[in-house]
Amino acid sequence: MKSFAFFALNLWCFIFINNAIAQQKQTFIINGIITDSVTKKPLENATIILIPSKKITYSNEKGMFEIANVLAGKYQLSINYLGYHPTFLNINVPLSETLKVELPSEENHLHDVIILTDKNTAITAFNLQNHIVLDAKKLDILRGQTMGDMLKNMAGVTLLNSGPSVSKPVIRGLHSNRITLLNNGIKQEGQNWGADHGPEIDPFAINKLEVIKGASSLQYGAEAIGGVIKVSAKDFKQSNGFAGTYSLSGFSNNWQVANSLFLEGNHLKKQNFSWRFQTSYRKAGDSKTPEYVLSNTAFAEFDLGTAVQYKFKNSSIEYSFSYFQSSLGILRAAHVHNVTDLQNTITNGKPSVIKDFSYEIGRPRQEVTHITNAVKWLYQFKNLSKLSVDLSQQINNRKEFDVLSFLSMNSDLKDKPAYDLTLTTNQITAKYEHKKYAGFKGIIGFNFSNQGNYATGKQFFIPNFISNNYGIYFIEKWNKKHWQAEGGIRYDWINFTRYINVNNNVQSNDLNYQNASGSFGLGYLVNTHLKITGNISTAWRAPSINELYALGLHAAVATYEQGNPNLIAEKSYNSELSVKFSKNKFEIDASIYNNVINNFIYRLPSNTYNTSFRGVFPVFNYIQTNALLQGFETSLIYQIHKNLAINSAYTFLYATDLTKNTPLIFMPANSIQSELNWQIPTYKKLKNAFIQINHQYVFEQTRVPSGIDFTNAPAAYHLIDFAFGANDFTKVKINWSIGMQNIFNTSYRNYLSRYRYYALDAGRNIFIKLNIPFGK
Amino acid sequence: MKNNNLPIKQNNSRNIGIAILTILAIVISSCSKDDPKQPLATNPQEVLTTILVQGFNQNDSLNLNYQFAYKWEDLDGDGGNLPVIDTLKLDSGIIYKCKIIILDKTKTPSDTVSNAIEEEKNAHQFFFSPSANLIGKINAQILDFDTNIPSLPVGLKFVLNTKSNIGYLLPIMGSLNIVLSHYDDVPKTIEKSSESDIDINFPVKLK
Repeated sequence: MKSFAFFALNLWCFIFINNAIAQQKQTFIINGIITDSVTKKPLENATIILIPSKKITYSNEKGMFEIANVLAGKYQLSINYLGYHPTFLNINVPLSETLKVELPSEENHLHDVIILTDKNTAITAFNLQNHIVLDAKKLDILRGQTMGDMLKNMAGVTLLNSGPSVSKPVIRGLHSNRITLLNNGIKQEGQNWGADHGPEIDPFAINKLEVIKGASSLQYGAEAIGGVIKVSAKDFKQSNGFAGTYSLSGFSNNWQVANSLFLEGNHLKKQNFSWRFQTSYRKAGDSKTPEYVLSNTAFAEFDLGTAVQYKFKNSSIEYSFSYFQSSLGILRAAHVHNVTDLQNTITNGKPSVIKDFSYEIGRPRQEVTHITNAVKWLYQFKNLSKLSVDLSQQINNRKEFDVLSFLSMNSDLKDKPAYDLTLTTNQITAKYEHKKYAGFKGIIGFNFSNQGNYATGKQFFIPNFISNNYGIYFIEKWNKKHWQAEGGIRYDWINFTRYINVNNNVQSNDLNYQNASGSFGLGYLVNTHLKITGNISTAWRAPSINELYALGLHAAVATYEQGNPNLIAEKSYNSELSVKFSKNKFEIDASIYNNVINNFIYRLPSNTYNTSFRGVFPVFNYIQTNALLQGFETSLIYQIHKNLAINSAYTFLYATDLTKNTPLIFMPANSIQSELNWQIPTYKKLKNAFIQINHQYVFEQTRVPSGIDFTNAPAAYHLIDFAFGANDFTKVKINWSIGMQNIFNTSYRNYLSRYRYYALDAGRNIFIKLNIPFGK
Repeated sequence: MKNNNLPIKQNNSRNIGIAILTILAIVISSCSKDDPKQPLATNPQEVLTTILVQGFNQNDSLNLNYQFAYKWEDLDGDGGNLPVIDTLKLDSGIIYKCKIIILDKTKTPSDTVSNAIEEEKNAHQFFFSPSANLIGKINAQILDFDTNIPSLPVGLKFVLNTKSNIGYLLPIMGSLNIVLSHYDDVPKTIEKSSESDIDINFPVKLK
């Protein structure tokens, strides 16, 4: 699936033109040059259509084109190149100079607004949705870090941690199954429900991260009540040649070494065959808090990914394969056998097992592999409509190994995992993007997903199941003068069958869900400085496997979980209002939202206890309530000097259980994050040097329901990070940066960290990163 | 313009695309290793079903009146039916010599899993704690020791000393908590570890 969300947003670049009225008979020539917005390489064979004259021309090998015999007046230029955002420009003939058009690749959202040098060309390009994007440039500073470290740098995204090795994103208080992760256009499918199951993606392969909201997110399924996080790899190489990058990073806190080799190429005469390949490996030891080692938090990860693309005149076909494998140590002290043990650990205030630093990954641990195969086919019609079909298969295997007890000592099952789950997901997505018609541009699409879960292992927690999900959607975008609108509707059917074996008799239960989701947004550009947008949307989510059928002990939090097969789907009604103001050196963004989620599913201790030989456990049931999530997000950018900017963001969330009229449990604390960024274009031998200082203040979460959690919410804390880096240090081309996270080695606990009951979060971390690009 | 040669190429590329998609669809749909429709009967696992406390009067070992075998039993494992727990009926003024036997009755013949504790005794220890109203009235003392240096208690063998009944009325209903601490990754001490492999309560009737 190509970056249709970006594409869709880019449609807003369209401009309605008044009929060009020929004022006089004198004719002019339009000259232009088309290049890639990132590589600046000329794009050959781009289609350029002059509207309304319908004159068509193509760019030459230098990216240049020329349209002669044009009368003076207002025109629109349509520029199309496969794999790039189609672009429309308003021009005023005669042009004062050569038109320089930098075309953004579809994969590249950063440059969704084309850059022009001609003063006569005014573009009114603005996005309806405020995008949260981490592009390649920002990610380069984070390169080498874990996926979680990258995600938490996005405004509005917080992390749900399970120790230093496992983290997953939280958007506006929602996570796990309520967020869809899109990896290169394919919905990532693992055991997403688990709070201690991180996403299975190679962080080195991420070239861009963004949060998608509004109608565009309807393309990716009904589940994403919280939002869609889109992860994109680097574009295919567009010009002939071979290039690559070797990256190496080291981190002092857990003595982690991470490295990755990326290779890419583009061959054949017409640049129509390209490929990329990436392999990464990282190994980390135990993390350290300011006071002690977090024993058994070492981890290792190996990734391999490759993709090839062949372009025809009007179509392209792409095949990609990726393999992810990780072995993650789980904090030893977080494995408790009953509530008494848990409470004793909390009382002690530090982990019960503290050993010397080690790279050893002992028990408990997780071993995860994820394999993805995908084929994407795109066809562009002569009238610029597009059809694309993507097929993919993902096989996710998760093994979780518990601490051994005397029961395992003499057993031949000693090395068998407690849980061993294999989830196979096949997806087909097809969509047709119609050409612009009467101011409308839109997509109609279809998704089918088939999922099968196979559970083995010593303990039962979730059963085998097969689910089928069919979805259709229709999204339209419209733009006229200062107004824009977007709307979309989606309908899904989900069939979910559980299979269990009772005394060698296979029993199955069938559950069916179906519902509609929709989104409508409206934007008004008051003037060039002020933009106001509003959006209302509704989404729904069927209960997940653990919510329906979980049954068993959850060792990390000493609870006995019991699913509830009578749960009904969650339904959310979200409304949002955003204002963006930018003038001179200031840019202010503010959003306010109100999200009502009916039948919100969450876990709550019941009044019953499960007695086992291991002790007595509170039984946690999945129940439903009506939840209200209200929030406010604002960010301010102030360009103090040409090279010095300060950037500050505040996020506020107020979450309420409407049924009980109490706060909702486990919602992220409010925070303020500020960054001072000093760019130094050249300093002696250094180029593009930067100094970055980051401060984060996380408030105490005071909105917690009383009497449910094992302990109080942790105190507020400050964290300060620092980084310094540059390009082209010597004659060898190299990008480097050094820095320090948590400079003052602050002791803190994050409210959303599942291990805050047992241990502090990690302390000071010094890092060094090198990127060595080669080839051209 | 160049439009003339488009239709042929279009058809070619469309056909190639469709052909590749079809092949992949077949490949993807035909590979599934473990069928979710065939769940395993019962996942093989290590469990214990039965914890036996056997005892006799240390000073009158042949007197059947003071011999007992009480059990804590949960045959269907976690969840499901509640465990069946006997009440320890103890006479006051007796020194009971006791031992613990732990069985896995899901196996045939039943497996004596407490043998593993004996083998791993340097990393295990039992703790016997009477409820508050029985403190001073029942005293547990461990008889067996491990091979650590210095040697530490294990608790598969122990005595329950019910003292004498002077100064209080009988019977007394209370409980005895039995915890098996596992010292995995931490050195064994005389304190409980943070990892309880077993944590059960027997009701006690002291008469």
